[in-house]
Amino acid sequence: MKNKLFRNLIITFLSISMMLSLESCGKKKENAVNGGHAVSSTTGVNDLLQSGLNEQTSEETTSEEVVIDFTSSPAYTSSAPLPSEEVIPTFTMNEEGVEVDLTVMSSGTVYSIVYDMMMHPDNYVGKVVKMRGIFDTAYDEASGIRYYACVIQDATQCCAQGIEFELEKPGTYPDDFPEVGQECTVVGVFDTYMEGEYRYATLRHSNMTVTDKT
Amino acid sequence: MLDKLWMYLQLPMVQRALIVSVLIAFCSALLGVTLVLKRYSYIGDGLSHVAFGAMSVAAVVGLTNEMLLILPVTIICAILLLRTGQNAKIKGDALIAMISVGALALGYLLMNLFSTSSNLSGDVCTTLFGSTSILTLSNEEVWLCVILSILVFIGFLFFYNKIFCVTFDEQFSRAIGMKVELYHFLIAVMIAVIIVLAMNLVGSLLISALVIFPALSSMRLFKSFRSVTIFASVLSLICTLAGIVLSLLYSTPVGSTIVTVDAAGFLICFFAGKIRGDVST
Repeated sequence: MKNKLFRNLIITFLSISMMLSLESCGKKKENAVNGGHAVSSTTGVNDLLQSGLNEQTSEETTSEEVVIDFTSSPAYTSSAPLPSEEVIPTFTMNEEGVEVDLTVMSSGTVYSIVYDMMMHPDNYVGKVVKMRGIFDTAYDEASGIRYYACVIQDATQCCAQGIEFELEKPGTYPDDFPEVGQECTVVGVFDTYMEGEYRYATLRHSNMTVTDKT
Repeated sequence: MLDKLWMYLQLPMVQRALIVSVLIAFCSALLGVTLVLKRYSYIGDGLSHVAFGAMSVAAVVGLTNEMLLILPVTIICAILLLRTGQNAKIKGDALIAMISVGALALGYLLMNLFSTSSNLSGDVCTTLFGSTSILTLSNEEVWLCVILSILVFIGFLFFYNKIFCVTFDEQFSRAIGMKVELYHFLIAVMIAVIIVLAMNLVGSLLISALVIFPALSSMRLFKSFRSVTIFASVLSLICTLAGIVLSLLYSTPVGSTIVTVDAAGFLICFFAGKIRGDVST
């Protein structure tokens, strides 16, 4: 009798534990959705330029003010502390001086690293990034600023992530730029900046080469 | 190639993906044997579609915590499907098919009609095929998976004899005074938890493969419940790891690569079983 009761208690405990654990998972996941580029809310190519790190920043700025000191360039220091329990990816610099070379990685890995850059930009600020992807551009009529981005897709070709870039030698659009959708390789220094209340990521001092001539 | 693999293994996101996928593969194989023996191989697929439908409803309703709806609905459906006996008006396989396609259709319809995302096809693709979800997990999600997997494993070990009994002969289990419904409930909860977790790994459409392939492969080579379960778990681990490594090296979708490796594993076991004298038949 005692045995049966004990077993029943264990069953109930296991069931409740699993349900409660998953509910807490939901909370975390939901935070991710609100806070940035959650997988279930993957953005389209055009949205990447528009949204950038909006949601992620709004979450961070509410809890802790992030101050980026651009005047101290090229150090690109940020006063935002790194999350204590977060595992920071380590990258070694190659012969070209590139620390995060996404061109030598598989599409799935590239997607996940770019996703990580959007979620935890402080881990990458100041690093030289090289990426190959699809060129895209958007024009903000209100501010009169044209944004350029290099967009990568995952292996299933259904999800896209992109990084905005600013060329070292700004040219004239469209004369000095490839067509939207052409493949390009961009090398630049990862940085973030504030625009309004939102925080965006960009590759500064970038050099772009068109790798797809078609 | 080894250098490239080593480089990938240094990345935290890849390490997290490997940990979670190994745990999910292990747990799904454990329960897979029970499901295959109870002739509910397709239940994983049905439940994952239910989870997809529930997720769509939660998104449309605007629930802040989607799991509050997804998990109970999946568990209820799991209980319903497992409790369906021979005397039911709608037989088990028909009920699974009905719930599966019904939930899938309803989910997609709702997502289309009341979409809140700018990339609907991306959302659907991610949910159905796993996409890169497994490579974008947070530390919290990894810990959650570890805890749940341990709970499932402990539950399976602790109730191994009861699960064995319920799996092979329900009537006998009732006759000896076992609370069959209670164990059905436990199995249903464990399955639902694994299904919801596995959606990250291989997506809704491919979950069944994680459940049935290792069990079926193992049955080609072994006879006893214990040896089939142990080998299925080991094989599932190997196939999942191989699938992830291959997908990293050759830029293929993670979920479908894992399932393809599982299928290849089945073929190898099938021919190995033939060579050994077809012990499983």
